[in-house]
Amino acid sequence: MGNKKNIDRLFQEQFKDFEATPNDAVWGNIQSKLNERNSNKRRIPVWVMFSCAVATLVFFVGLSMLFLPANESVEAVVVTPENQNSISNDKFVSAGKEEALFVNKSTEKIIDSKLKVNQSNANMGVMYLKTQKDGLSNESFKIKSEVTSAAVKSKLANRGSNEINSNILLLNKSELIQKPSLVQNSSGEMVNGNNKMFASNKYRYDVVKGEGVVAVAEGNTKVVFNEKLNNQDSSRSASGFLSENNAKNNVIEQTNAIKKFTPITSSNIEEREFTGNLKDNSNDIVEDNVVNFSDDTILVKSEMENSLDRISLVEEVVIDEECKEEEVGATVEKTIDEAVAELEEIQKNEDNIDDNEVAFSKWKIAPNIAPVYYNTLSSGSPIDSELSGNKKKGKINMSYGIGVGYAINKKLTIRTGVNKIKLGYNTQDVAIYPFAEAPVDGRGLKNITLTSEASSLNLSGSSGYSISQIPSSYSLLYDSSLNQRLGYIEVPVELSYKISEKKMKINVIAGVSTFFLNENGIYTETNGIETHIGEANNLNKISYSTNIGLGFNYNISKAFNFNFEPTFKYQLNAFSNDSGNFNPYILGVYTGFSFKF
Amino acid sequence: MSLELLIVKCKKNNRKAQGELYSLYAKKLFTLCLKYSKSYAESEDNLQDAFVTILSKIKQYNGKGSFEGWMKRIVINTALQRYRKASVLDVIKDDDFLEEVVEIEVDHVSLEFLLSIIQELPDKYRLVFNLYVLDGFSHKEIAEMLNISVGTSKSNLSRARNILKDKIEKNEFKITKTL
Repeated sequence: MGNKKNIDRLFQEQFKDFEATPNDAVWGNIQSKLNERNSNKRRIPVWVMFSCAVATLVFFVGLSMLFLPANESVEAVVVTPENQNSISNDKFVSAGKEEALFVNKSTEKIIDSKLKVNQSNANMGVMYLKTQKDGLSNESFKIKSEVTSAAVKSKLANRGSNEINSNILLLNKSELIQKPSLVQNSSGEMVNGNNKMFASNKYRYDVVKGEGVVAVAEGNTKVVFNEKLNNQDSSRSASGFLSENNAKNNVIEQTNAIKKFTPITSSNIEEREFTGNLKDNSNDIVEDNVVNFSDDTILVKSEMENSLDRISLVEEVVIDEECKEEEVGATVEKTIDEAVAELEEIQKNEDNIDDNEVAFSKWKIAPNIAPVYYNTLSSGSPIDSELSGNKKKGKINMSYGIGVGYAINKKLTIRTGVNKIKLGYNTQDVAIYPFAEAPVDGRGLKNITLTSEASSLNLSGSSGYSISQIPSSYSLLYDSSLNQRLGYIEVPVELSYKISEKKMKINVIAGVSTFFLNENGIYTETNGIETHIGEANNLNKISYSTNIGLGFNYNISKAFNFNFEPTFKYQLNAFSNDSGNFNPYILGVYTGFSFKF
Repeated sequence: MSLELLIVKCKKNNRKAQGELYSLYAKKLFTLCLKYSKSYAESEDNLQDAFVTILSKIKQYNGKGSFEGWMKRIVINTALQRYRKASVLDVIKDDDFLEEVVEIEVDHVSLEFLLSIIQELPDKYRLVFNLYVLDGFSHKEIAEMLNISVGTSKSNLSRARNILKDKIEKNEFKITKTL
């Protein structure tokens, strides 16, 4: 038998000088891994930078395109008794088509300028302007045009046989989309624009009736930022600041202030009863805060400079609290409760930072809104091969929707949702003329089912011949363009893979979308006026796309993220037969907040 | 070449210097890996991962403390990471384990045998035993590293000791029988 030994010592002694040689292959593996790492390091930033550049470019091009065409159209459609003659001269005479439809209108007589603002459709407030015109040629046909991006429909009704329904762009489309507004029309009715669609945006715009339509069109809009009470404003900015502070983890000084007056406000709330009106107001304020919140995060820097002022503002609110309006209490209470909750979350977060096994939220819900650009990768036309040589111009529309995501693990998330998306593009240089006077080689375009009003029209890609070659007897020739509009309900199924774990998370997104067609229209556009002529008959009711994108998620708090996701979607089978080598794609910059739970 | 110069060159991604550093420390670090792993293959994986980490984070080594200690810490962390991921570190109730001394009578015991019985230990026991007995960490440090309680660390150590003791004794018995 040997010596009794402490087992620890036995191992310690034995292992003291123990050395083992690893396999030579290990160093080889290490080298290859190091190489991989180095090349990865170099590759990712270029890629990310490129994507960022594209995203930024798309974003700004999108913005500019949203605003610019709308301005032109506003100019084109300002039709009032006072200036109609000049409009005619400017717009129609100069187009060199005195014989054309709109020129010889004796439009002084606006018979019925009843204004109706229609709130039924998405971004259309429709106004009917009835006016008389005469001197038209014998063809009785109606051109019914609608401008979806605009708001006003003017109906020029002829006492005789001719009737023209033409739409007039009234409001800047982007304004409508970004700032759903309360429009006050000339008859004093308050009409709700499209607040429902964009519930998060609660800025109110009062359109003040100046000179009827013109006033609206020229943007004589007065912006009223809920300037009801100074107190509200102060509370709003104060609370906006608080939220922002939470996001920035600048917590310490504010924590005390916030906690100090939370009980006061909540007790006040309990004691008070709201009238319906006041409740509404306070809701508005709260929602305003949501908007402010995002604004403020962008303006963090400047906000921070004012932080001291703001803190004093908060304190003023506390002092004034007991003797001032209820809404203030409601707002402050809500936001402060949120603020405190967020502070606690942040503190928890900080405690857990070193812990590798922080529990993470599996589910998230994310409403989004996106400008979407639609265009083709090739030069074909799904309307008719005759138009394949024509220039196509992609249009920017909006998509909005809501998504849910489920985190399979810390890096991989599967997500789906529902988006409502509108798409459109423009085929330039199309000739329109009455069927009876068609040139010999003229024929209707293949994949359009014309409406009854437009059935007497013929269209032709004008690339084949020059307009001057057509005899002047073809009096109703137009040098137009065609707009094809599509609307879909989109159901994406995507995987997103996290490639960066910083405060700003970066994800690679890939997946497929199913598109359910819900809008299909083809419009001619002549001198800024759009006319609905029919719909495409080769569009699939259900189609698919492959999606790839890059997601930038900024943590505002543990549960709340700001998302910015430029995404490219390639449509696979949008057109059933004879897509005419038209390969449409959608480029969208999906922006929104996501909430994890 | 002095170690300082070698480190400087490694910081500049000099592949030759990196190779030199590897050949200088591979054996020592590999031993460490062997103790913390279940098998030879796993040890090699560990060494490989740890060395990639060492070479890519060498810029963070600021010259304070021993370089070897810094590397060892990375190797151990890499090994522990594997088991953290696999979440094998079950929570054991905090029993009051006294610091017992396990004694054993030995005559013939080879290093290979000791290594093999360490590798055969359940993961949680092996890690604690290595950290405490062979690498000199305190129970408090171990508890932090493995995200377990001090009590769990102590109880794991005690169980590890007893398992090892049993195995050594059985081995002794076999050897004496054959002798």
